[in-house]
Amino acid sequence: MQSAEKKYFLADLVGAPVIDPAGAVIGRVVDFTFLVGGKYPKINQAVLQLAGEADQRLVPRERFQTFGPATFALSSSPTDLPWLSSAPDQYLARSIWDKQIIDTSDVRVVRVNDLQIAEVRGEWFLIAVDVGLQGLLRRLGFDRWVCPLMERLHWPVRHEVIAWDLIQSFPTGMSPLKLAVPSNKVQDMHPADLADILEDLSVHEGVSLIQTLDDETAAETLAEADPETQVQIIASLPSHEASDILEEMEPDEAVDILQDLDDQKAAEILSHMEPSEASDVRELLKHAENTAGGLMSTGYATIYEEFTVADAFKHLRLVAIDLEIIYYLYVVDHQDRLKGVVSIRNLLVADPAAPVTSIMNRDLIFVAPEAPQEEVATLIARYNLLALPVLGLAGDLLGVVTVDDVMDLLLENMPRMWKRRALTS
Amino acid sequence: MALRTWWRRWRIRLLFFLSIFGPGLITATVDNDAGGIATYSLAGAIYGFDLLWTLIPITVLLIVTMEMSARLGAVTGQGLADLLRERFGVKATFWLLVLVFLANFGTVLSEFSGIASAIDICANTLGFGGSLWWLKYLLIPLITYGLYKIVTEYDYAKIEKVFLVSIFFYLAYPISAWMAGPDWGAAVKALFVPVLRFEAGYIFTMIAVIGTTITPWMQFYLQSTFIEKGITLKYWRTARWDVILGCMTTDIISFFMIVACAVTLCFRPGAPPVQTIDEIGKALAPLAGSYAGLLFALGLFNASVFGAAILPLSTSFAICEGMGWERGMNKTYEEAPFFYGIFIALLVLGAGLVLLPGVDFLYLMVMRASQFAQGLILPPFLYYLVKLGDDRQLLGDHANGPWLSRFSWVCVAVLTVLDLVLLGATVVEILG
Repeated sequence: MQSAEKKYFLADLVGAPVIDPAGAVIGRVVDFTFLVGGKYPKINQAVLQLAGEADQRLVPRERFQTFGPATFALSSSPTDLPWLSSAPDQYLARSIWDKQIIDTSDVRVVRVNDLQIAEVRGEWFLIAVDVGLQGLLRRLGFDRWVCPLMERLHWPVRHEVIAWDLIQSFPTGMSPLKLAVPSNKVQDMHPADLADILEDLSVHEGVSLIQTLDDETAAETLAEADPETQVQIIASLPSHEASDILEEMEPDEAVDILQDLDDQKAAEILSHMEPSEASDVRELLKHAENTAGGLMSTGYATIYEEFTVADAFKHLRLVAIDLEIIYYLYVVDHQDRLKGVVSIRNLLVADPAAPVTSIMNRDLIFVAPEAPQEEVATLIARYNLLALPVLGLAGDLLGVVTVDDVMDLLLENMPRMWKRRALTS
Repeated sequence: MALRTWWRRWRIRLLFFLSIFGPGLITATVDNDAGGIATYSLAGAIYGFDLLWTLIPITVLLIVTMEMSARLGAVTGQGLADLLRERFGVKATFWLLVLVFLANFGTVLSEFSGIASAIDICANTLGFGGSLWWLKYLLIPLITYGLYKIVTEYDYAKIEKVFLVSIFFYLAYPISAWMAGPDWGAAVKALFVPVLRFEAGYIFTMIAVIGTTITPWMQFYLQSTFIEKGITLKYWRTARWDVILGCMTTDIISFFMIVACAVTLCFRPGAPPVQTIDEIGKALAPLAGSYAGLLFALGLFNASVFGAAILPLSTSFAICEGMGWERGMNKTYEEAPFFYGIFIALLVLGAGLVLLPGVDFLYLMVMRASQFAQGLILPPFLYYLVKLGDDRQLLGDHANGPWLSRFSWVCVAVLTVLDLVLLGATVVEILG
């Protein structure tokens, strides 16, 4: 909107006198309605309160001769103007002032203090949201004396506006502010940033935010949030929505959340999950939270002993998209007993026709599902592993704990100085 | 060794007991802070049993308002200031928060007055008298710094329960009242038979009693604890009882406090009226004898520090919430300058002003006047609270029912009339 001819703030326009064709002041401007569709919402009507009338009237943009903070001059008599009905119009002051929005450029939740409007080729558009102190003072009617005063004190009041196309609204309990924005900007934010916002919101607001995301982004965002927020949000979502999101998460992460929910809710969510996903999760749920069984994931690839290197690649291509660990392939027999491990590196350098048994590592390092997480962390650290298999009593492969799953524990056990260096470098 | 295992076992039981205390009981306990102790004590000392009848309507009103803000928190998951801003716009919210800020600043001053008085009483009772006058100049800056550190660096919610020890202090009042042997029949009768006096002092004290029991800052605080602890509608039934029981506990304590002070301090022929805070401590004399002052000082100290830990923070939080400024302990000073600014200013000004030389004699007055100020801002605050509670669009089926709504509006009207009558009475007294 570089070609804007005039810019105004809504606080300056609301309350401006309305003048009839004869030049008499007949009322005041109360609000405006707008249309969404383009990049910026277009202002199409003003809401007027005429003197001596109980109800408010709507006047279309075309019936104003002048349109500005000083005066709104009507081009014809207002008697035929329609009354304001309770039609679901979008109002500037009523629906946007004082509501919370997400500033997607600075990644934070802010409150709308004022709105900026620009005239471009005779049309009026909502172009920006004022979230700064200046907007707040303007709304309170203090800006006329506070701002010059602070200017003189060499401590000018900061002016903070965010372009309309950088903000995202989300419905809160109070104000179902559902603006049809052309693209879902929140969707494009990094899940880690979204998780920061999520932690700043109340549970209800967080739930609304999560509901505006697609399941995959929602799952990634939740995975980045702190455990307390994860549990609160999942507990407050309807079970079928919660299960859709948990399905998108790694089974071990989903299990961490489910373990902290009450049993009834957890069972409900599980019952809504796809059978294959649910059985993985159920398997993991059997194990205590702080043991190898509780940490392990089922997102790994297994191949059979009779596979060749080429078969292994073929299989990997089919399943890789759903895997958490692709560095290792686990070689099992038909009873699911672990026979050896092949790394991607082993596979890459081997002859495609060679049987995998000829290149696999048979010296297995593994843990039992009951092993405490400290033991898992120690083994992973000592042998420099990226993942550690968890075997049942019969030597059957139950799952795999990855290095990420014990990262927190590894960091905790590092000497203090060392940890600081590791985290800052 | 046996003692140690015994203690360990009891400590676990005690911690469990404390862990089931809900936000309602905690908030209600904070209610009897320095200002509360001073106001109830003076009400008993000056007017005897005459103000006891106000406790029943006050309890009902306290339950109604606390339940309303707890419900708003549980249903909407938003803070009170957030809701005010979204529902009534920036102007109403701003002016309401200005009032809340002024009244809360007075209450912060009263908490620090309580701390200073407690230190003075301790020094006096221990027999060091005037030679320890400097003690508070040493301790108050240390306490202020300690409060700042605790609130900013530790998980306050966990430390909060330590202050609940004050509940045991309040037990001293019923025991002391019992030992002083009041006319219980008269006390119970006074609870149900209203005494109306149209004099400014009486109405002033009445508003202070209302203002110390029902305060806007407690509503803000309770609602934000509900949100922080993630209490949603699912736990609402239990949480509601916690709030109701908390409200009743606080007023039962008030009842005994007034009775104890009425019996020990009031109506002694020829005795001068109560002027200073250490005289209030004498209400505990039937229980503690010559240690009454010390017991009183300890209770007052605990209650005041508790209040001083919560008030500056919750005030700053509410203001920043309403104005849309960044807030919370997980933000840095650069990110949330207003939040830390208001919080630190309240702490430093509160501590600094009570240490001005020669203001000792004002402590008791500050404690009571601040509660009076809370009472004065109550009508406009309740007006908006009840409007929120009535809002079907916001609360759906959990909005105030028709009777609750009518009752609340009557309360708002009665409080407004009381405020106006007091203003009128003051004018008449000044002119006449």
